[in-house]
Amino acid sequence: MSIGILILLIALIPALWKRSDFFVILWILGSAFLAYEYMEVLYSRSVQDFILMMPEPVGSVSIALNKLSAFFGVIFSLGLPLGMFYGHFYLKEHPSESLGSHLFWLGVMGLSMHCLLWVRHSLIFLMFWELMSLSSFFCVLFSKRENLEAGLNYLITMQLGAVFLIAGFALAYIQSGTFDFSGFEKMNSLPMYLILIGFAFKAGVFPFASWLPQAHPVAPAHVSGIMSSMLVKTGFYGILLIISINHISLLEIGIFCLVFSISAFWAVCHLLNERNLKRVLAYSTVENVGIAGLGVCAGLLGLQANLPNMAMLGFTGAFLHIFFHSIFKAQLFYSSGNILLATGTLDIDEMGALAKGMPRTALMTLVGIMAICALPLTSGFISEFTIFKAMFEVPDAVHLSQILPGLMILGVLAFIGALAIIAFIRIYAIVFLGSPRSPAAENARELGRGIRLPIAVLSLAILITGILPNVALRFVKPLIRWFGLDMAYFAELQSLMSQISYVYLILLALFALLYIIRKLVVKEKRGATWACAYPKVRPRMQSSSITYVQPLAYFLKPFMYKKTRRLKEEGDFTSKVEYDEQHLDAVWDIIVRPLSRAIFKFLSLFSHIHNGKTESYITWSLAFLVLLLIWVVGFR
Amino acid sequence: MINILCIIFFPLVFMGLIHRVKAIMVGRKGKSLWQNQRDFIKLLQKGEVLSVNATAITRIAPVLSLAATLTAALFVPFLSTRTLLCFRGDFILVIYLLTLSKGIMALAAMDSGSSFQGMGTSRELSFTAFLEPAFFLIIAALIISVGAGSLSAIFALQNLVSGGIWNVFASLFIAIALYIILLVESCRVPFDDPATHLELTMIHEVMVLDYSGFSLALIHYTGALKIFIYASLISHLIIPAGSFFGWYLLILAGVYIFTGVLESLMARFRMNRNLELVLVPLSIAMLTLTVLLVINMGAW
Repeated sequence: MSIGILILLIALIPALWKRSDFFVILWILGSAFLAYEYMEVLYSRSVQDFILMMPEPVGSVSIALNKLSAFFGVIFSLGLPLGMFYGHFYLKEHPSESLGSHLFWLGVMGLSMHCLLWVRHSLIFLMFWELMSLSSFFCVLFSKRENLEAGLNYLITMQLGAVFLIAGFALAYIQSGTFDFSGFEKMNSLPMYLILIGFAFKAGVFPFASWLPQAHPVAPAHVSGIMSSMLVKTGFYGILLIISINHISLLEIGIFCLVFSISAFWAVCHLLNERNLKRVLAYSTVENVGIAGLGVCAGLLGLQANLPNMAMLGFTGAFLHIFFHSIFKAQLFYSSGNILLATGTLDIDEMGALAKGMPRTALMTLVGIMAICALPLTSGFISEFTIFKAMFEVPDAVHLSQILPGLMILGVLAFIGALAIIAFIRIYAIVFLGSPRSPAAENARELGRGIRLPIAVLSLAILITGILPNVALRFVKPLIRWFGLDMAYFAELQSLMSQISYVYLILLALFALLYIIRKLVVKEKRGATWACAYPKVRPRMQSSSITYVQPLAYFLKPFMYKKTRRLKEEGDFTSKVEYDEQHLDAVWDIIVRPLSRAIFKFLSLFSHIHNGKTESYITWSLAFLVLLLIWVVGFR
Repeated sequence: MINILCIIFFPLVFMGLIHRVKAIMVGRKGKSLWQNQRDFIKLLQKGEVLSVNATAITRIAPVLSLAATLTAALFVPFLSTRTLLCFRGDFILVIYLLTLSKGIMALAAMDSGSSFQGMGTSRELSFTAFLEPAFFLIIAALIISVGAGSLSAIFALQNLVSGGIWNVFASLFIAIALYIILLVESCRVPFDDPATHLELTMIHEVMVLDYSGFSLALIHYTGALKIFIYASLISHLIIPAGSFFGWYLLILAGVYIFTGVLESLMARFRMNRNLELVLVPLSIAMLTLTVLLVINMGAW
């Protein structure tokens, strides 16, 4: 541990001198050491323990890894350096004078993410947790004034989450008398709920997720990629940590199912309407966390109903989804960064036909989009396949009543999957295909090779884990064993996955055969797009981001909130009518905003107390003293 | 092996059956059953005109779409219930392969930058969004009632004849649900009219407006294959396993003839009401599951 962390600490020095190249090299080196360590823990040694004696009240801090934290550690140690590498090139194309501090906080964020996994002591854990929140806040604020509001919103949401976490940890301490994580075992329901809510803020679960679509679009692409694919997972790590050592009742599983279903559904409804590329990806993070959560629910349900196959498949699916999501979401965020740099905008209605100027980015993004839609040949399909499979592991109808929430998960997952496909086909088609909707899109050109490299690496990872899923299953295997799940059936799953690989082989062979025939037989000509013989076709006549979802919006109206304004010129003969339509975030714009405004209004009632006159201050103190006197002495 | 022959020869012939029935219903003689095959071969030999906006997606999509549907068809029982490929949970892969074929076509439709094609795509995708959960829940209900793991086994074991009275109802209802899924997925009449000539009212046809020649032939064949898959599932749902293959062909033909008759007798639904009607399979699936639940909890 020490070598890896030490190198990462040293990496902060070149960061201060704005040498992002050295910074990245040190990060790659340090992460390699850490990755080795995590792998070792994951595959061979069970725990690697040492205890740090600290002065009271902290006491002894056990620094150790278990399989769960090692699993997340591997994800971080592979994903973070790649993100930093991308960031190096991104910052080169997008220069700013505050580079030094940005790199420094980036390093601190990565370090605290790693340290979180090592400590098993709630106070120290909280310290790193806060450090992570704070440093990621500084990373989001990247030299632009308009980032401030979204960044502050992020910080406040995180602090709110930390309040729950602190309260939960405190109650757990009172109950068990120790700060060590072993004190979390079999705890009362109240501290458990508080801790879970605290982690849910970070993980981006439904009512607490509105920071994601606000913070991600303003952050630079590498930061949003790292945050969305890895930082959010620390919350999920916490949830799994609690769930793995506590008994969860059937009612609680039902509540989890409901929360994660609503979370995923809420996110997918919002991302259908969204125009900002990065906001779409942020909502999709919420959706994918929901899907992974539903996998965990299926696993818990299997344990509850004593169906070992279902439990194993549910947990495996959830872990696989966490792993794959950290790959394809990072890939898509980095791609969106390239698009932003090439076109200067994130509004998808300003794009179109980018596949002509940026064919390589288009190809790589297609891989990412296919993965996020869970289409076959990519990794996203494998994890969703496993979660779906979990729901079908019902031996007979007698067990049906026990796993009723499982059927709910099945329906919800399938529906969400279908909606996500619509949403992402829309994004890809509008951004990359058709004809350009703005001059910026028409002139967009491919960026340098370096900035494409991390995306290419991630695309390759998506395809390899998608076509040969056993590679990824081997990574999850020790974790499944650690959870004490059915290993016999795991072997069956592995053989199933190799059968899927064979099916893919057939699919690809058929595709290649047909494509070669097409290549040999067909003579191509070019002609104008058919437009009912209308001669003046313009790019604006293509489907826009809003018209595309119109048929669906008719049906999903209750879940989509929008504000429409009609701007009309005065007079009898109006020459111009403008519509302005804005889609609202159901939680942020309808609950949080008005609530915070109401609190502000209520508190401003007291603002005249603070009027700057000495005599009125003396009066207030006198009144307070009198009240205190009455309270102490009492009415006798 | 016999299934592969089915996959290759039957889809277009049975599509011809629909056309023939429609023609007879309006008092014409109609074209020969083999006409679709001839059209297919003729289209294969023609050159293609691509849109000026088209990228590689336009070329890849019909090919990948057909490849995915063909791979999915390898799991489906046709004349013989012994399919070439089968493993536990293969239906998930089949459904997603069909989705892949639909998704890539949807992307390709947006590739030409036409205003009509985007419209058609968004309609088609929206209408089929509700079918995926329906299909999954139907399969879940079937798995619970027969206890098998792969698509071919499930549909071979479930049938109208054996089992109690509830099984008869379940099979019938599920057959109806599957039939509605067939109509929507393959864009037949009450939801979409394949014979319409106005771009604004098209759904599926408008997506392939800019295709010609070889690609168009593949697209027609893919569509026919998709109907064939669903029709075949329906007839296996009704007949018992191992029964005379004539029954299978009879019910298969019945499904196609019924589609033709329906197409001649019914007008299509209003476009924005379509979504309400595609919810029917979903409700049927839920109903079947509820019945299963109630029976097994012993309330009956």
